[in-house]
Amino acid sequence: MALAASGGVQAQEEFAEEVVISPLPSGHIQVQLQFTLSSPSRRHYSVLPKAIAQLAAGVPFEEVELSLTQGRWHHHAWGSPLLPSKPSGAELRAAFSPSIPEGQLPLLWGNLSHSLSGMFCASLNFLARPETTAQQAIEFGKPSETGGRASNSEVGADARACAAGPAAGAMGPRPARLRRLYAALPKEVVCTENLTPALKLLPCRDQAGVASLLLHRPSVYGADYHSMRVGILAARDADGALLSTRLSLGITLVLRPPQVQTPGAPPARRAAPRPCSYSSWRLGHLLGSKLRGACPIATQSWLFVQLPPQLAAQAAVGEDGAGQLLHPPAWQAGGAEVHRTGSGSSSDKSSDSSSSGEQAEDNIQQQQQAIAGAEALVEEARRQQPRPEGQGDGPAALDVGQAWRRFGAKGAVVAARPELAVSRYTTGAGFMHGGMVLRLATAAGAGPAAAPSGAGTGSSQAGGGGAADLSTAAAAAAGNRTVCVFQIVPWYVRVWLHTLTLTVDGAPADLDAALRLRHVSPAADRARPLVLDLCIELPAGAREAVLAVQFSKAFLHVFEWPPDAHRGFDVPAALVTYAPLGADGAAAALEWGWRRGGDVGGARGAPSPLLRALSAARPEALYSEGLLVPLAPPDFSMPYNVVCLTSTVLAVYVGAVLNALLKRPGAELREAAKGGAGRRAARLKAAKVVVVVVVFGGLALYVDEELQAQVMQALAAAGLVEAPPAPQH
Amino acid sequence: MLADDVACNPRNPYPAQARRAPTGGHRLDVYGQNVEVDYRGYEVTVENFMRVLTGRHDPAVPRAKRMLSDAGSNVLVFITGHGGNEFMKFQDQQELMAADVADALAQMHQKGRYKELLLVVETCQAATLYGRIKSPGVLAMASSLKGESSYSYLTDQDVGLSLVDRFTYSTLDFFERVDIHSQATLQQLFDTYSFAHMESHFGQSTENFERPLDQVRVTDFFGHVTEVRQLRGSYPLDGMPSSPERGDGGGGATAGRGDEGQVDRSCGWQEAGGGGQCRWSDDDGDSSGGGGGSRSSGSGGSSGGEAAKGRWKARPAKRLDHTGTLAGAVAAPALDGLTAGGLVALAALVAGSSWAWGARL
Repeated sequence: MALAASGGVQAQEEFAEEVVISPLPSGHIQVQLQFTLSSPSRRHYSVLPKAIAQLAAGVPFEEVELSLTQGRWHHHAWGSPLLPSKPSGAELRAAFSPSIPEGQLPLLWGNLSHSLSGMFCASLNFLARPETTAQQAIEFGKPSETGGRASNSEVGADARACAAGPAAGAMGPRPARLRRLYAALPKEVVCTENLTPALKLLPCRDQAGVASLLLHRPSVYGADYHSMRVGILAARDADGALLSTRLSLGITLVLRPPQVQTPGAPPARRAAPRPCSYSSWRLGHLLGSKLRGACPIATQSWLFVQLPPQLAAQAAVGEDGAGQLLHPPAWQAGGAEVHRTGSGSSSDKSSDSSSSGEQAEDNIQQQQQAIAGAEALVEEARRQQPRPEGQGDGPAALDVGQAWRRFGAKGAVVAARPELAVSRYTTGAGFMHGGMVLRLATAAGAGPAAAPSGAGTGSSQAGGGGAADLSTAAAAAAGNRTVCVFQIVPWYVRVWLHTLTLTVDGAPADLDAALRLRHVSPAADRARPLVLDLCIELPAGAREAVLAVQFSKAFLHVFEWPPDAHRGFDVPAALVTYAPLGADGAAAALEWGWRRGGDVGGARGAPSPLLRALSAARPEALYSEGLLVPLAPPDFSMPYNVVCLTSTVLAVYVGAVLNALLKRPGAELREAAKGGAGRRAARLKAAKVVVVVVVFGGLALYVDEELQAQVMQALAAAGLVEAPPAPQH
Repeated sequence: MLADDVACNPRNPYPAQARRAPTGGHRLDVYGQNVEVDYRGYEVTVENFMRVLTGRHDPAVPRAKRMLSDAGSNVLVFITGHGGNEFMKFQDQQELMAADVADALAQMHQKGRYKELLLVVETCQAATLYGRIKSPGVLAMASSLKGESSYSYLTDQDVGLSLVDRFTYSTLDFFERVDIHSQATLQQLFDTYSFAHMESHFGQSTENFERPLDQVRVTDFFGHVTEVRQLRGSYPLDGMPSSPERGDGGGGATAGRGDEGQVDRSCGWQEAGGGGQCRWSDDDGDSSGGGGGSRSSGSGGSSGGEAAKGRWKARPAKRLDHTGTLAGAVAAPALDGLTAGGLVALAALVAGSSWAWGARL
């Protein structure tokens, strides 16, 4: 069963490289790169990196997912990401088979995080500590797949749902079948040094193929959102032996398209794009590097460009009459334009004339031309790659672009925003009276798609007034909704669980009645964090739900503070999971279509692993903001001062006591001269001295082998080997 | 080791870059496209620095985070930051003392972890940091003498900081003219440092170093040149030294056509400690892949992965084949015992003699 769900045992190694470029409602451009390497278990690998294979053989995990992210996905402005977004910093999750005993998990988890830390140049070994690791006891999925693997994982451990179709019952929370461990490191920085080793896992590195888009690191790391995720999936048989390994490396970028005037400007300096408009873009300008052909080793190379929904529908109907695949948003396989370097292009012209005209019609015409002129990039690239003279002048760089005659397909941008908006903030003040609030609002409450960022955080009043206008009717029709909140709180933030309250639409609600499933593991000082996993059923039509809890802060030892103690301590982002509601209350999956030239197809049968993963029904997973909780830092010079003061006081005390005890000026000598009791006292004192010297000298001899050797040597030299061991003076 | 996220800090207007100079031809990105950092952020501590030098790690520490040098390795240690008389600050929290450095190098020498070692210190009063080193084969250079400050250079108005230190600027200037086939010697490098530019005196310590400086090429320490030679016929793998493979590994470098030259960045020099030349790797090409959590006891009970697991377990043992490492492993506990025993003996003598002295009075 496990094998069937994971695609069976593969006969050979595969390497698929894909890139999807899609415009976002805010005018940003999302670039999703995906590399999938898979291989059956064998001695020698030609595609799969051996380090990964050895890791899978050495640590008996089922799935591992590591993400390194910079920035935060703005759901209200960018809509839903193609793949679930990740919290800022590092996040590591792993799933182990239930047959592995609980006691072994810390060791395995430690080995795993240490290995990954060495492999990806990140400080993941901090995750190995038990006080950061949590066990996820609840997972979200369909009841029907309990027998099989919880993941079809074309992309990684995140795509937890089955690709078998939208049937088979509603998606919901249930106890986790696998032993899932989770840890997050919110402050981990992500930079070039993380990408370098990741690219080394690819056969062509960044020298050819889709990965060559990442050649210009300043563009990659100047992106507004940057996320690299590494998923390793190990298929094992019943005995735990490794059957096949699949590594998927995904990189998500959200880029600001360069303005026409400054195509070469660094991304960080580009102006924010105009919202509610489609931006013209060109890969070379966007990323600073062009596509250098396809990797010759890759079994599949894909470039997809997403078309606006209304455009895709019209184009498809107009040309092919195959409109059945085009639910919004739809995919276009093959480039909108394929250019050689240096050649003038029609899209350049059209961006020059961007001030003219009608919006929709021109867009459509322009795009139709582009489509008509485009062949599948893969074929193009493949044809170019093996040409014999290509070695001399390097691979021809491909530049792909989308040009719009006019900014703003106004109103055409349908933001597939998540139905819930999540925000989290702290309340209270001081050491004892802190509070943490998690606010869930239906997305309509967060304002229109063009709303500036921070709509969720701005309305920090828990009263719910900010979420007033929304499609109540739609929500009411949808029925009750089960939402799972997964939260790790470090032990030094002491959450008072009895103060946990639920407020729905401003009115207090009974939390116990609303709970469907829960897993709470209390914190222990320096041993484990608080893990809150609550699945709450929200009533139909609820506009806003607020979970609030109070906490106080713990005292830390002076050596437990980080070097930048005044920055505060991070509380990892909360994860909110729910099933998107379809018309019938079942989980709704987006339908993606793709076409290439005359080829049109749905995503289910698509050869691309990424497309298949995208169309798998999966729960919506949203991360809240990370929190920064300031703890009152002590005066760090205090221990030093205390040590100095204490040492001084002790020295004075010891000196005085010794003096008082031992100093008998003159009296004892006079007594000794008289004989009797005085002489006996003096002899006693001398005996004491001898005892002390012998005891400590013996101890030194016992501890120090080298000193023993020296002493034996000296004794032997003096001819006194049989003499009792006495310290030399 | 990099304590600060210099390149990708949000306040850096040039993401993923660290430039040497704001304008002109000196606008060189010193961070590089293919940099690798093994210890960063909170991991950069004095303890980890000493562990890297002496090679005494927790068993779970992966290979990528160890310095796998042996008695044939040339090691480069570059330390930069805030310093003072006989100390250097880590993270504004800990201090690396000159005695620590000297002890670590002495232990490295005992364990055979280097053949020659070049220690570059760029702090204020830098020369005091190497003053206590007595280990043979150690060459040390410093940006300033005792009582002097080391100064920064070239402020960038966009970044709002000085981009480079004067000592580094001079050094980089020299190395910009050096390629991996250069015959330039350390003496030539040392001659380029001038008080007029640095406003501090260059310091060097050659007392532990045998070779004359005008016969030491800079490429002995800077830049790792790996020559790949093809051998005819098979090569016996059970012998210890070096089948000719690239040492950087990292998994699948098979099709990396148009590679980044021959210079191996992963084994090159690293800022603030660590670094050094990698030895020839006799492993199967994944030395920096770092799969090596050798703490794993492979308890999954898998049978199909037996071959791989055997190698997994065998790897640490293979390292012990090097006589230097083995000797070091034995020497280390003995040294600990000596220290502890010496301390106890000292305490006993002091206590006993004070008592005796008091009694006589």
